[in-house]
Amino acid sequence: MRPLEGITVLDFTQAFSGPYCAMNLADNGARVIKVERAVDGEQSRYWTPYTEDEQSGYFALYNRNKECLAVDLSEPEGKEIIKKLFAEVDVVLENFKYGTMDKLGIGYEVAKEINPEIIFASITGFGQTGPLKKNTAYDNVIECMCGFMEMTGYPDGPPMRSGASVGDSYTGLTMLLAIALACYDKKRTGKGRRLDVAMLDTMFATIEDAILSYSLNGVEISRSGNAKPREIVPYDVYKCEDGTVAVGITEESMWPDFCKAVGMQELENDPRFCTNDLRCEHFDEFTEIMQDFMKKQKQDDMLEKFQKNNIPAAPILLPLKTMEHPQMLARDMVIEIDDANVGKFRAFGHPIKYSKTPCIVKKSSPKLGESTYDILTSLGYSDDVIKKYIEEEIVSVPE
Amino acid sequence: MAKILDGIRIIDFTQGHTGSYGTMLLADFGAEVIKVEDPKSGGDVMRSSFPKNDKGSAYHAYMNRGKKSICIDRESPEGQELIMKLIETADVVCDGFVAGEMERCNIGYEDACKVNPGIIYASNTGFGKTGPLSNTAGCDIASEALCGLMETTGFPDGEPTAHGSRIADQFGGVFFAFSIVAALIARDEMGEGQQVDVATADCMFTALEDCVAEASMCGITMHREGNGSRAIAPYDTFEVKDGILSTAVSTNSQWKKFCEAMGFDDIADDPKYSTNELRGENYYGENGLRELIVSKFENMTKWEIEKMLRPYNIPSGPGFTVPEAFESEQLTDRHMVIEVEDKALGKIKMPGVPIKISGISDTDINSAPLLGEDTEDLLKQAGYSDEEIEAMKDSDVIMCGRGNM
Repeated sequence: MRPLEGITVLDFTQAFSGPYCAMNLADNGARVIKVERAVDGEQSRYWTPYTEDEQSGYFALYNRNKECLAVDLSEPEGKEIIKKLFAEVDVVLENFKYGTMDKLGIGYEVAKEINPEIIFASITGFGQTGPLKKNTAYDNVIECMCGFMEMTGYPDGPPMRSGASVGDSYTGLTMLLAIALACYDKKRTGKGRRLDVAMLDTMFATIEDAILSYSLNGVEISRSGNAKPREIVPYDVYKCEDGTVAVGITEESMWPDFCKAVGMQELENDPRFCTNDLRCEHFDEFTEIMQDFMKKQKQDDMLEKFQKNNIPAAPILLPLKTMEHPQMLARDMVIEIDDANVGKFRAFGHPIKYSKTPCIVKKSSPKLGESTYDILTSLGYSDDVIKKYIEEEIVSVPE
Repeated sequence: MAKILDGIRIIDFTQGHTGSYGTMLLADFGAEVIKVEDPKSGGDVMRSSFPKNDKGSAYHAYMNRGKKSICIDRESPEGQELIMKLIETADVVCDGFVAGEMERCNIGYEDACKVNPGIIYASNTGFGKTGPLSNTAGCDIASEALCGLMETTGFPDGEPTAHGSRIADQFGGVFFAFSIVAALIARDEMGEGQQVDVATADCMFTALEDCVAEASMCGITMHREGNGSRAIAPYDTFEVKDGILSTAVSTNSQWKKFCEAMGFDDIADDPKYSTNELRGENYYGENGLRELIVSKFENMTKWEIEKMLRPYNIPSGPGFTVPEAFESEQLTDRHMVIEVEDKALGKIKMPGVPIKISGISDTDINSAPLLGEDTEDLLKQAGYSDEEIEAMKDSDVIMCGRGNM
């Protein structure tokens, strides 16, 4: 058994934020029916990397465990199918621009009318309220607006964007929690809910340092590279002779052990460095000492010494190397999937390790329209009607 | 007003950002989160962390809002017995220690299960409770480094770069909160609890977009691309007169509109820029598209640019400074800046609740606790007499902070 078994999700999302959310729902056992455009499919089916026959690895990675209904939402017959499904599902998930579902005639009010217990979840850039709700958002627009980019990068360099569009994925993840909360609540109260999670909100809340610094002391802060010289020292990235190490202490009790790990016990009680406040004050001096020392060290030696002294540290790895790291392998964070679209490939595993209800990959990403026939049949459509709909491209099934 | 997790009791041993953010979200939605703090070290490290003043820390005020605080020495047998009493009454135990620490104190899952088979025992650590790094503490940059995120962030000619927020810890925290709610749902079905183990490095690793597919299918990892995008051009961030601004132009029709808005009449039909791909090819370098955009933007303010692009519905946005964010109608309308009356600091503005659920308040948020302020109440509730509490206080098994204020 998996935790969300018995919950059915009708998933209209495309690209990254929504599919990431829905994939986690599906990994945790929800039945996710991914609704895609008939014939063409969802946009991320066309995103790199491709196989030789132009199937997308991106799509395969983020759409495992989902079923697929391919339907044309602009046709009345297509809308009719969706309305019939509204009656049967627990959750509707969408990440269209504000108002799109309403314009299609399959918005929250329509869904609620059909199924008063429905949980209707919308991921957008700016939310369902506020003066900017109609604006189009890209990840870079949100990362810039919310202040995240101002905080990312080096003090003497330009602001930087996340290399992994975390504005999208983090918002999808936040919606995952919202949906779980609403499902838990529904089992108790039977209440349907409207869920509204916005990229600007979720990402704004991640820069608490800047928000709280201004709030408490009226001080505006900006980016500080990999270090946190106002907050905690040592916490930085250092170059070794043959590689790079990220290392940081998280509490003062680690400071003596840090000194031990780097073999400089004299620093422990040095009047410049003996407390965190002092180390923050003498950040530049401290950094110079550490840089000089670390550049003469071997990466593996240092990692071993930090680990032995229980100091948080790690090498900076290419994702390619992360997939070979013993810790990731030991935790089944790299798994092989035989995918219906791209064939065998290695994907990330499940980040939640439940002792009794483990997540699994029950099926790979779907072929376009893979479940169309079964779903329509279960809704009572006859073979003749289904055939007609396929001919008219109102729905589609795999070739 | 009722909240979704009303009646759920969490005994929370997490300290610092990892874990605490997750239990904060659960407290936001009504869970009774009882933070167990060590009185000898002054409690959670966040209590003395930046940003702070002589009254306390705003970081603590935010991350521990709506929680209770109990001070128990988990090293002493009496303290351990007390903790087990609390676990008996709880739905969830949370911790963020390295593998083995809770067991060493005789308060691990097996012990908890004996007194409360329904208990959900959830941990959030940097690297997880299994594997060769399970005995190593983690921190945000270590997780960002290990999972591959840092290597993907930064400029092509620059260094790998950490994110400007503790993003791996944030991912870990939200996955952690989700896993607890999912385990509560499963408990209703199974009638029993379980153990849950969440590592921030694992969580972050699932969000690297195409990197994992690239590595698996092509044996490569695409290099850092700064603020641009392989797939869309222009897709960039610009330093303008008074700050920064991002914009993205993906389709050809958007390109035409962008040219109209920018007054780029001479290049709107230039074949050099006629497709997304060509715009990408001719973007950087001398006389490239980027240079043209920069020369137009650099003498304008972010608000002037926003005003110029908005009528054409070009995706764009000015970077808010924090004071601007506090004034922004969008964020204030959505209660994303809330003011909490903190017991130590007084009124303090902090990020709001990022999940909006109809019929559930997102502004009813309480103060973070003073150190040990709930010790006495919770012990009385657990059936301890005044004399027993006094005795435990005297032998430093517990610490009672300033009572209900």
